Amino acid sequence: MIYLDHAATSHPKPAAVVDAMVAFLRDVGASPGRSGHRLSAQAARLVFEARESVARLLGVSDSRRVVFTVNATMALNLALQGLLGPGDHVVSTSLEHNSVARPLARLKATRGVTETVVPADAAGVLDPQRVADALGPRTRLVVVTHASNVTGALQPVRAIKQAIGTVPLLVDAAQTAGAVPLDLERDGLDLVAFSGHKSLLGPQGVGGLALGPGLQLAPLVTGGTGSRSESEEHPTFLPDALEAGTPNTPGVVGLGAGAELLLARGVEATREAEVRRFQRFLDGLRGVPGLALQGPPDAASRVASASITLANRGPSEIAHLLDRRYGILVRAGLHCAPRAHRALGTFPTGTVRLSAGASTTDADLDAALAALAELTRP
Amino acid sequence: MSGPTVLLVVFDSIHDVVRAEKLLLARGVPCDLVPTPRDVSSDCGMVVACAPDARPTLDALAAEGHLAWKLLVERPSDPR
Repeated sequence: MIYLDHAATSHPKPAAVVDAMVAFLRDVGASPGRSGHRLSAQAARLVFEARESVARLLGVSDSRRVVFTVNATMALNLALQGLLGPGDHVVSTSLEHNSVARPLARLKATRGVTETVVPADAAGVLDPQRVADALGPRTRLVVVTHASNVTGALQPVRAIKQAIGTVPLLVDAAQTAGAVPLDLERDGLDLVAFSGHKSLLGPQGVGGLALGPGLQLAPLVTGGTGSRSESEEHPTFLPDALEAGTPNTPGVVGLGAGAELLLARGVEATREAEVRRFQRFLDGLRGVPGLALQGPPDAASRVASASITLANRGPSEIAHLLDRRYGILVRAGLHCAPRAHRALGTFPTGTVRLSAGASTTDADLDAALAALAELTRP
Repeated sequence: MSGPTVLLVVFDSIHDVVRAEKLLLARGVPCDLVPTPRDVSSDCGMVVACAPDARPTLDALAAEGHLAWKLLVERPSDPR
């Protein structure tokens, strides 16, 4: 079996991630910091270390400004709902996933938020000046994906931040955190939403939001935090202000182990190797007759993800045949990003997305090329 | 105060408690995490407990901007 669906979730998880989660469940298992006994203290230490590792990886100098959520979608909701108030204007893009488009649709309906959608160019890349041109007097936030989950195209988030000045920028790093170097403070970003189970190599059920210094958000959920227990007012200090209830501690521990692994390997070194491997694959795709590749032609301008269509078969049929005939697992359809597919002209049938990850080898990608070449034959 | 005493350092969050423990241990100061005594704070979490001779290190960490505790109390190590 060849797994090329890492853009949905990475698989298999590294042994260090699995081992850390098993060790937590077997040997610790307590609620972090709530109960005061030794296991509760140990759980709190493990959550602390995971937060520190993720903060180091994302360039956040104070790990209190990394809050854990159940996934990137919840992190994006936290940022959007926590910042946008009645009458505010938000700038988004034609590349956004439904995890941004749907919360914004709800905020438009419930809070009177207005939205300007900035289109990407033919290669699926945003022009920072066009984003800046969409700003208005009531613009409270700009939200941009760091890489399209459809084409994989990387977006110039640093240049966008420079172009929009003091307006806060929310970066959806679901596809890039752990795969592409990203430094919240050095890059001047305000909010970075991340998925824990994709390139950060953690399990499903954990993600988070990293905040720039001084940024205040209204909480999405309030409740028990293990702090200020005498008060019915939710705490205002981080991370408790934006985390309530017992966390997914096994998931956080697994995410921490994944982040540690990436820190040890180095995200830049990992990225360089991935670009080399994926460029060879992109070059191979261009040699397949009747195959159309979406997004930029070079691997350095995208994450290791390729969205394709074949002239003679629909996306669902291709994905099904790749699975059943060749044991190659990919994702077909709209990838929860109808906006992006409309912009690409691939709506409503979508594309086939082949996405590589930490466990992908050259042989895996060569096998996918050979299978696609066979499928294009009449 | 007669008899042995302990310093209890109260922070806003469990995150800050664990951070303080890590910083103290890194400077060779033994400490422990214990349940917050009800007469010290109504928080349901934990506090850092250390010997009174940890005070200069705590003050240094605070002066360097690494720590900001909510409350610091010295009391008998066995309050019974």
